[in-house]
Amino acid sequence: MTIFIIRRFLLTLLMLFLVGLTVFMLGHLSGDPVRLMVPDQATEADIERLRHALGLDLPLPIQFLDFIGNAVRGDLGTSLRYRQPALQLVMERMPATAELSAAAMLIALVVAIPAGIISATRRGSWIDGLTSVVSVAGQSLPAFWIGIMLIIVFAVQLRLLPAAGRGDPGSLVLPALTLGLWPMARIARVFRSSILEVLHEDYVRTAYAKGLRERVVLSRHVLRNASIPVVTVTALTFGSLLGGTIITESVFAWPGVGRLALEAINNRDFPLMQATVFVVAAIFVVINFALDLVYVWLDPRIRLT
Amino acid sequence: MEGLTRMRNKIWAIIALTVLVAGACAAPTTSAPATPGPKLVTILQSAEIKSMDPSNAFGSHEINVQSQVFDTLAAIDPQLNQLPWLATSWTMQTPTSWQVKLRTGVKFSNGDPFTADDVVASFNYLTRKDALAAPNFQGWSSVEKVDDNTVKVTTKAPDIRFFGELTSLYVMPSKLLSSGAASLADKPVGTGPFTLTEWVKGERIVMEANPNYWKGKPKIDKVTWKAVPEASARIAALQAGQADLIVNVPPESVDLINSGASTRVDPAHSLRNITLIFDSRVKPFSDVRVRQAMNYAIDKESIIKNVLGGRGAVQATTSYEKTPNHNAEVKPYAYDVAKAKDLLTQAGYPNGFTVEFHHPTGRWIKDVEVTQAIAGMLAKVGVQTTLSTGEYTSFFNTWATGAYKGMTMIGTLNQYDADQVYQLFLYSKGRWGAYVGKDDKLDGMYESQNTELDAKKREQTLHDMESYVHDQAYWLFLYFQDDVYASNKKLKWRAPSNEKIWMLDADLS
Repeated sequence: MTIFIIRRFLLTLLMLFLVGLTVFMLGHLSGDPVRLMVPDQATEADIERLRHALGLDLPLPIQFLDFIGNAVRGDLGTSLRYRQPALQLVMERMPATAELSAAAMLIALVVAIPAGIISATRRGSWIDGLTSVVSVAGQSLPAFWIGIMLIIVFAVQLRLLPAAGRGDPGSLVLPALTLGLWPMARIARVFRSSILEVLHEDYVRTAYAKGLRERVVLSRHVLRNASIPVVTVTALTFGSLLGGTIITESVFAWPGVGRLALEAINNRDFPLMQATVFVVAAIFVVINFALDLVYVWLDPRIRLT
Repeated sequence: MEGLTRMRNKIWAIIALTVLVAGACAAPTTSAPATPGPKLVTILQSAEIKSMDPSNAFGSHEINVQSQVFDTLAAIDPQLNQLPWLATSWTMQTPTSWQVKLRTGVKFSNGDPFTADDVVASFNYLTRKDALAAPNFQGWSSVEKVDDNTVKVTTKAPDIRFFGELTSLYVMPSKLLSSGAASLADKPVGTGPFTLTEWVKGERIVMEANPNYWKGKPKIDKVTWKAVPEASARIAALQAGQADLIVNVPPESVDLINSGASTRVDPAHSLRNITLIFDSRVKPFSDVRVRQAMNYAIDKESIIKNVLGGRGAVQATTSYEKTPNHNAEVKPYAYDVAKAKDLLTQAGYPNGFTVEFHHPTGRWIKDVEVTQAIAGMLAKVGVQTTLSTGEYTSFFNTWATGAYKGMTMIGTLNQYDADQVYQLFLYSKGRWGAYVGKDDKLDGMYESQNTELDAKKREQTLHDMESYVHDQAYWLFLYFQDDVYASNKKLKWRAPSNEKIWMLDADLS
């Protein structure tokens, strides 16, 4: 177990390094932002002076080593546009994104788990049919379109909820629903097929043969065993939700990390780009690690190996 | 099965509760309450504000917000009138020194009186080495205090753009600049019509009317600024009554907004000219006949009507009709396919040619669609285009190095003076002048007006330059795009031609 953790940790470091290198190279390949930052009247001398002041005139390998060296000490640089520490900016936006992702996940689970159970145990029923339709729609319709449709219906027509922005609690509903639809669809489908698989296992038949009632068979034998793939999908989906927030946050003007990342890319704000990707990558890694621990709890056999 | 039913019931209860709570929380928010309550205005721009420090302003969305809090020495209003502001007069004393008289009785929002010390300190702060605003003061070398209400400005050479520099000088309190300028980014202190009262980063900026403003307290009591990047979300918020003013309305939404009971579109002719810049250094555009042929081959009226929904003005020469020193005598190239073909034949291209055509995507209104329309029109005279589309930052960075061949779509803003675009795009030693190649006549005219202190003579030279560049057709002159805003019908304001939103004389009925 200890060796496993150490190996995982080293692999994580390597991954973060590669992530950093990729972001750095892709960002710098498309040119630096200085020309766009200065007013039209600026001369080439002005541009060079600013480039020097921002440290963008150094050779790329030196800039990259500086970046890595500082990152190791917990300093992800200073945003070129905000002129504030990049890490601090990302952390300022993290609560908004965490709130949105958690609400989206909550909506997804609250709907997907019962939908999965019912559609698996009542196969062919209208609920099963509805779940399939909603799942296909939720996974194939782009979040961008869903978001705009929700705004038109609930904000413009019904005037129930705010169209955009973060403020009163009602502002969370539409973006969370938009972001939650995709994981909802995914989890419901996975849970349904996972339950169907377990229902055909010998031990389920044995349990029924022992004369246990359906409720007991389901709760004690089926759901627990069927939930392992669901935990995996839920955790990984939660990680990718952080990426999915880029679109949702832009549509709803939600002041989170996704929108910050998009603005950083548009502005070629290198330190901020790197900081957002770093933080999101780190969270993804932590989630993966936590996932392993949950497996151990759910499936005692993993502990033995 | 009972358990399942119970679980199901519980889940339905949770869902019902969530919907109820959400409904209760979402009490409709109208930003324009019935009179006589306070007058509140919510403005949605498309990008976020990063700093309130005018020395690091970037883009008109930041300048818009900062200008509510800070005043400049001189100002250009939404109708492009040039006005004295915190400076009441400026007179040239020698060709390189000016005396600037300052307004008296003006106070900063923290109570400090406005004096010459603040102007000197602000100039020094705005021109420090890593300030984005520094290049706005190319012509000035120093600002000194003469007395409390007078400063002396020394220029590097005779400065014909003196007014432009006055409009860039945002005045900040000298005490704050010397003790902690960093706090300006979050807690701005200015003499402007509004004072910042709340800033939730990424969410909203709230400002209240300055009761002691030197032009009188604004009629709007409170302005809230938010950033909503998606045009459709901005429009939805306006329709839902959650916003009073929005920017960048796409042409296809104009009818929708105008048909709303409480919403209206406010277009303004803008100074943003969209043009194609030829690489005149090499064939085929080194031949003036080819460049003229291209100008004749494009039906500008049709592009404005069919692609831009009628919102634009055909461009005849380099500057807009309201730009100082504009030459109104120059008329646009007519749409004349036969003449275009004739000129191409004379130049030795009876069957046309193939050329690169670079353009950004999503930077200017319908830029991609306009590009496609142009490519189609050029094909009719035998000119085939190889389209190269770029995301703006990398597109612009490459273009700025002079590396693009063929022709490139560029949009520029010229507001202070007709010579501004020459300085940037057409003077061979200018920032992006390389594409013209070598034109000694044009360079000579540019240099002579650049130091000409006699306004009449200088105007004549600029008029000559505008008609010369028209005839030489260094650009494929297209149009000035309209800026399209939309607002709540109750809001009284003036849609600006220079992308600058003024709230100081706005009102809500």
